[in-house]
Amino acid sequence: MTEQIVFDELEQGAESPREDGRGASVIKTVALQVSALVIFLGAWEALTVSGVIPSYLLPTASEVLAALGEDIRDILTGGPMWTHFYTTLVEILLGFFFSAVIGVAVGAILAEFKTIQRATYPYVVAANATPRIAFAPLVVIWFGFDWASKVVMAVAVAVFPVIVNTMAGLAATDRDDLRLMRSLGATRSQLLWRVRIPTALPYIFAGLETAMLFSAVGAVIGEFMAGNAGLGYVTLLAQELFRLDDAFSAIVLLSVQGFLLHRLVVIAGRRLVFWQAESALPK
Amino acid sequence: MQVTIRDLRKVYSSRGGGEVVALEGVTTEISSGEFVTLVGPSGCGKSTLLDIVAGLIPETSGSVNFGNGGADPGQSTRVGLVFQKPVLLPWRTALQNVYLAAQLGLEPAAKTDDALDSRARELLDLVGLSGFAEKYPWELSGGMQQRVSIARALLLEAEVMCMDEPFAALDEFTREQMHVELLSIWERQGFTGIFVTHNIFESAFLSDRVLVMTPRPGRVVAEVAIDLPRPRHKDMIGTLGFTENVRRIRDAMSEHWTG
Repeated sequence: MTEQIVFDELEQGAESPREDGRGASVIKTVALQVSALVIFLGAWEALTVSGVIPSYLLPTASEVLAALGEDIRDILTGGPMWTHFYTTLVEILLGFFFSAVIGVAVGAILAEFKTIQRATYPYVVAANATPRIAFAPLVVIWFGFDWASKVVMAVAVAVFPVIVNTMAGLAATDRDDLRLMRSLGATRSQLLWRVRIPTALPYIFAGLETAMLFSAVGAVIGEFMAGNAGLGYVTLLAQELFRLDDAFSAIVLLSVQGFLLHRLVVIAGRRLVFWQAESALPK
Repeated sequence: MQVTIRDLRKVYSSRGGGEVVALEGVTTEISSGEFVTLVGPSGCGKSTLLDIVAGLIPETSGSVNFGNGGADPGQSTRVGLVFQKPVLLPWRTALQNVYLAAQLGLEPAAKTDDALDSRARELLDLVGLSGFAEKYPWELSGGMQQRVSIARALLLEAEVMCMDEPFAALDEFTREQMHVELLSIWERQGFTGIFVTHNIFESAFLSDRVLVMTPRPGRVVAEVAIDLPRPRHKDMIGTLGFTENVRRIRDAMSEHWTG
């Protein structure tokens, strides 16, 4: 969780030029980022075309770009790549959705009922410490070869940051806020809805951002294990056929998908938790 | 609303199993509409005393009574509270923060949303924040935030107003201005004011009477009546009369306590 918050601060720091309203600075940043990409691709192309890195280990950058172009055309025209892209997208979104619902519910129950928390928290921590990926073969046995096993894997990986952050958020209410609410005669449920939940929202959204990324990890691992659809499956298949350019293309598509989905959560979070970035209250 | 405090004692049990006496034998009577300051060094129990009067924490023994006997704090008597920090909810505008009080347990008798809204706006006007109703706390300065919190405390039409170093975090100029404004609000609203501070000048300027407290155990060791005329204004601060009152508070303090 701490990790995520530090990450957020970095992200906001990176965007501060835009908030200052200096357009020139934004253009400069974009120009720098495009240059970095061009230099990276140029170096890649040079190293592979010259044979420093043999082609059976790494395709050239231009081959990957060509494969990517083909895949994108296929996606836009509703070809087979569209099915793979769509399959993974739905798996990630379902995984995220169930992680969010289950994570917030479990986190809230653990935060609210101290007896349950005391009885189960060590096991939650232990489960979080377990590499859940190790369950993948069993998940296939339990949930089959179809999308269900992928979604279960996604949830297994993504639910914990939501649980942990929900718990932390509900416990984060300022002592002075509690005094205030008590002095105003607030009931327990008024305190929960009017103060503790709004206070927890920034924490929950930090957890949801991580959950979206983790959900993609879980879905791809699920596709590696079994099935015949999805971008993870395409990567695996390309590896078996030794089509490294296709594998790279699928990975780039996964990366773009993950980036955009994560962005969605960030934007939704900023809308809903509008006071977080602005608020410089001495608290 | 008269406040009668009798033989009040508060004991906290410390972590090592021992006991810390935060308040011991505090007895005083605060008349209706009086402005009293509790002054003393850190750890003298002044905030504890305020919290007990406000009904935030229970006393170990002794009693706090409102009016002519009866009535526990927070029940039939509305006690307003202003903290050192403004404690505004950042997801609510200034206006919404002011009427938060009315949406909770101690709802003022049968008020419509419109009536509440216009009452909250009146209070924002009163504390000098006309035109800032729709602003969020982070768009306001520290002094403005504290004004919002005063307006919030006033919404409940509290007959007793407890203030726990409300201006301690403000700069000197803002603080002086807030003193004058607080007194003019107090004169208009007529509440009984109990004000905690460790600033002797502040206590002399605001109060009718200063209760001097010392720590270990926290007790009221002296009462100093301030003989400055009302209404008070900033020009009084340099006068001989003011300095004389400050000196009397100081003497009372040093007679009973060596820091």
